[in-house]
Amino acid sequence: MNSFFRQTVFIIFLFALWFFLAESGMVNSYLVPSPARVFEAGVEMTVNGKLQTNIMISIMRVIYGFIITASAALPLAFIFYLFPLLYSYFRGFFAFLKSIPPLAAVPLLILWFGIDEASKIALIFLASFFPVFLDTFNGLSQVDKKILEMGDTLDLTYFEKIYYILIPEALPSIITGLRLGFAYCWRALIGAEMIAASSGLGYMILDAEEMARIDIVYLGIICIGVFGLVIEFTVLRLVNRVFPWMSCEGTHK
Amino acid sequence: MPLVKLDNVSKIYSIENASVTALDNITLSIESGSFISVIGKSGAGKTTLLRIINRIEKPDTGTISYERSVKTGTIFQEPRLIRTKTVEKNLKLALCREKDNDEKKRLIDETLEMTGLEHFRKAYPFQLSGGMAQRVALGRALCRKPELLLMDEPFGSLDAITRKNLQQELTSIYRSRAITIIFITHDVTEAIMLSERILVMNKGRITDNIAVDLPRERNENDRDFINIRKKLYELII
Repeated sequence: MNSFFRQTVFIIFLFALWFFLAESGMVNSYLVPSPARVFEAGVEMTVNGKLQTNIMISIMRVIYGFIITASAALPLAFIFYLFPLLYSYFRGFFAFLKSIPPLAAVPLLILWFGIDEASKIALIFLASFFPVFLDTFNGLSQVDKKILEMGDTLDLTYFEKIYYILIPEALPSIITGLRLGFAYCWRALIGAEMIAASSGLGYMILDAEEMARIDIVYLGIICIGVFGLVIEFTVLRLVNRVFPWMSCEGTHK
Repeated sequence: MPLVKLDNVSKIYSIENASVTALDNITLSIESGSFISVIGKSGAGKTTLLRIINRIEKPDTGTISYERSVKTGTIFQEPRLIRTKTVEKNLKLALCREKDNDEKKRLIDETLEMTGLEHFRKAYPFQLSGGMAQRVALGRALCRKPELLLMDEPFGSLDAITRKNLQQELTSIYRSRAITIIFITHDVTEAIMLSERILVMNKGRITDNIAVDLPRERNENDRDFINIRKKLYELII
């Protein structure tokens, strides 16, 4: 039995258990609606178009947040690696920021950015910045000095060493950081959509809770999990295909 | 004028407030086209000597002069390949200044053929054995057509058969190209097998300079070979 088959078998088992518990009346059907009810809710939300609209809005928020994170974290990690004196000023402040859960900043974000898209994207940015920044910075810092010395023996200039040696050697860590950052974006999404949102999967779940539609709450949670899984699996396959050396990296997560 | 000349070169390292003399007043001339091996115990200063000749480090005292702007190629104990680049791209790194793409391709093809890696052009370092990776390192050093090849125990971590094969390849490269080689090794037999002159180092000084006047296609069971080996063992110990 291959790994994929075993994982599928376990998921089918979970669904069967869920179905049995809900249908047998062993658990309160309000707390645990049957899979059939959740499926019906999915059909209903698809027919009225709300499900795909909310999914698309959430995906776009994640993409915007991720692009902004990558655009800020990658250059900053390079700058701090190349100018360690500059980083020494920021190090303590970054450690302080890193220890704050992004959700704790929600009131401030609403105050600064209002209740529109900006505050949600800012929260996604806060949640995903440090994985990308730290993995990139650590990847650069851990490049073996002996490899850079090899560049000296080939008479490479400072910038040639950065371009031809430093970046390619740090690439596995950079890619790992980006992957983790993307996963964090997705996780931060629900928090971001709790900020007075009127759309998105997070909003759909909260709105359903208020309307006592627990089946839609389940549907939303399953959608988030499935999309996270599909993205993770696709990115992993893509990364291993485009960068075959990632499959043998210790930094691979 | 020799290709490289060292005059009274010394190098001292500070390790935990203690001074360690790595090189002590070395004077040495390296003639163009020679194959010199440097042997000695660990910590004798062999690698430091190579690093100074290679301009990776500067001497504390003394001078080092080159006949002209000498193009060097270096091979270390470990291959030092870029793990995210294929064999071909690792070789290209040594030719990144070459503007003529056709010439670059020709040099890479020639190097892949010379090192027997034609079928591993698109392989990544993690897909190579230790011997193959060291061949890539040898190719990277040679594809830029160096006049001076500096080798720091390049075959030290390889198995006996791979080591023998690479020694043969190196001998044929030396004989087919106008190249000067400085080869550092712990292995006395390897030094006699490959080189024309052997420098013995001890505590940062060159204590002996032995000529190896043996014909090529050397056999380690020959009487002269055994005599030189015996003499070198006595000098090292």
